[in-house]
Amino acid sequence: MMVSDAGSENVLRMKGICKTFGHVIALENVDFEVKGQEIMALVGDNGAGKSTLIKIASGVYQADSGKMYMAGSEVVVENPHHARGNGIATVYQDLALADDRDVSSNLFLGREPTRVLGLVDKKAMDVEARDTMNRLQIGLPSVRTEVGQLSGGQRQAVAIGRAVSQGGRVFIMDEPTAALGVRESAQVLELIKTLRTAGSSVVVISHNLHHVFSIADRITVLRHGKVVGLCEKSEVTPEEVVGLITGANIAASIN
Amino acid sequence: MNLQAKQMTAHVINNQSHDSLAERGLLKRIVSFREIGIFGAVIVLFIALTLINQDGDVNKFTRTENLLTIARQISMVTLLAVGMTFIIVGGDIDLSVGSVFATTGIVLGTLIKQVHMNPWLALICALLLGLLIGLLNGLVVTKLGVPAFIVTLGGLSTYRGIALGIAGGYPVTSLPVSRFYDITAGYLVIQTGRYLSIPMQVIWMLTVLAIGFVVLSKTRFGYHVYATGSNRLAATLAGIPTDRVRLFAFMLMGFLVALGSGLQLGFLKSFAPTAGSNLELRVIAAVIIGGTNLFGGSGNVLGTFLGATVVGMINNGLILAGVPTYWQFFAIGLIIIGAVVLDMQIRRRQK
Repeated sequence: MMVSDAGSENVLRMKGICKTFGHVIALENVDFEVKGQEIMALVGDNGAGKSTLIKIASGVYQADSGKMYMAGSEVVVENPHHARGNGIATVYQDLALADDRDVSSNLFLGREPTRVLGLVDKKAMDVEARDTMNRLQIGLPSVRTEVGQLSGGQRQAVAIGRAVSQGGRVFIMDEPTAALGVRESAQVLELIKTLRTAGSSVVVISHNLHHVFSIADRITVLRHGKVVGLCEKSEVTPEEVVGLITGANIAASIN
Repeated sequence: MNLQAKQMTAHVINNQSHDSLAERGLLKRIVSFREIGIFGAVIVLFIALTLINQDGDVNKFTRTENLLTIARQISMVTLLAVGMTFIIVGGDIDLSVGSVFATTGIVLGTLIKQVHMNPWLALICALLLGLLIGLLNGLVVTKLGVPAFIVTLGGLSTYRGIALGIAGGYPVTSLPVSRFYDITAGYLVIQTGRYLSIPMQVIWMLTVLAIGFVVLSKTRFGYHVYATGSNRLAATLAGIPTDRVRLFAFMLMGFLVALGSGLQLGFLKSFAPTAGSNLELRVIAAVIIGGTNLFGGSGNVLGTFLGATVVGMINNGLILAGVPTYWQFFAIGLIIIGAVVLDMQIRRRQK
């Protein structure tokens, strides 16, 4: 019997997470879970702790205390490599792309396939890059285009494409639509729904409640490093969520 | 469903035709417009210098002795500039090159002359010293977080002092006879109909150039150097060991600097502690003119070779014209600034 985690339908479960930076308490006893094939929105005001939480999940930071479980078994994530190995694929807010490098190099950043004599297999990289971008239905001039020359939406797509081609059980996206216009945002939101349909779970951090309500299944609200709400999207209104975020309406805490 | 499939196919076909345009031709894959432009500059420069230096029956520029001199010059600068390419592409810089050159050369000379060591063994020691100095530079930069500019600026001074100190201010001369000099700096004679004498420095340069090209452009390590220089944070998040990558670049630089000093010692059969003065300027100029972005992330070894050729020919041209040395400094400085300004303009227009 798995003593460690009761809810094993959870693809990812973080329990009792605490993190302090100096004398700033970033996260205090945070529980966070994501079920299989769901889109979980993580919302909260600036400084609420959202970025810190996902950076712990993706191995950039280590929690001061607390545990992480994936599909019921405890995991330790010491660095981004570990996170990837555990099936956690993260798309950062600034996209973490190398602008001077082309699309296929960015898709395979840090995990370039090699052939004979340790030489990089650029042909295979290009083929798979083209394949990935086609599957995501993203229009690109060529996978040999420098990423710095792409539009905001295309860059976002490349970042998501990288996460997708790495494979993952959980995709984490930090403000995926923040820098995008209306049409490109809609494309990205469709893409996120495609990921869910394909069987993965997605954690989406967003300030944009419209976008949150258009794709999320459940919403976790953080305020000042603590969880103040966890709701089914269908059971709550945007106004109530705003209330939780700002703390104006404490009585609206729903479980 | 069918419409979607058709759209997907159309996408694939579209992308393929675009890509095959980019992939067509081995030449286009290795060389970009950038390099073609610099190559054009090389040709123009060559023609100009030939025309200017016709002196009656003799052409001062194209006569064999002068071409050999230029070839040797370009070879030395290219050898070091290959290492500098790795460093700058990776987002760092090394200003201590000339001084480390002096230190490794003096150590090499002293080992041969005073310690009576076999020259090849001494060269290995010098190469190890170069690696060690590179390691030191790299560790201070990556582990202590001191900007490469500062660390190597300090090294510029420190290693010059060390070289002068070991040599006691005097050059190392009267080295014992050995095959060492022939292999490092003699000639490779090929018999194809008539004799073709290629300076050994050129052979060394071509070897380093070939290896450098393959490693930087085709290996995983090379890809990581580009990534580290383009966006170090992104590279780190992607799991690339950026500290190790930069460390290796500094060690490679140290190794090549030591090799270069060995070739110089082989050629002159002596070595002065003042050797390599301002060498870093010429090396960096070669890399920048060759199209490498000073801020890291792009550039290549072939461009660097062309850059070294431009620098070498301009240097030579100024000497032939009897221009005093100080104007050569002036020229090199102007060229570096000009090359960076041009580079920034080109990049700005690309966006």
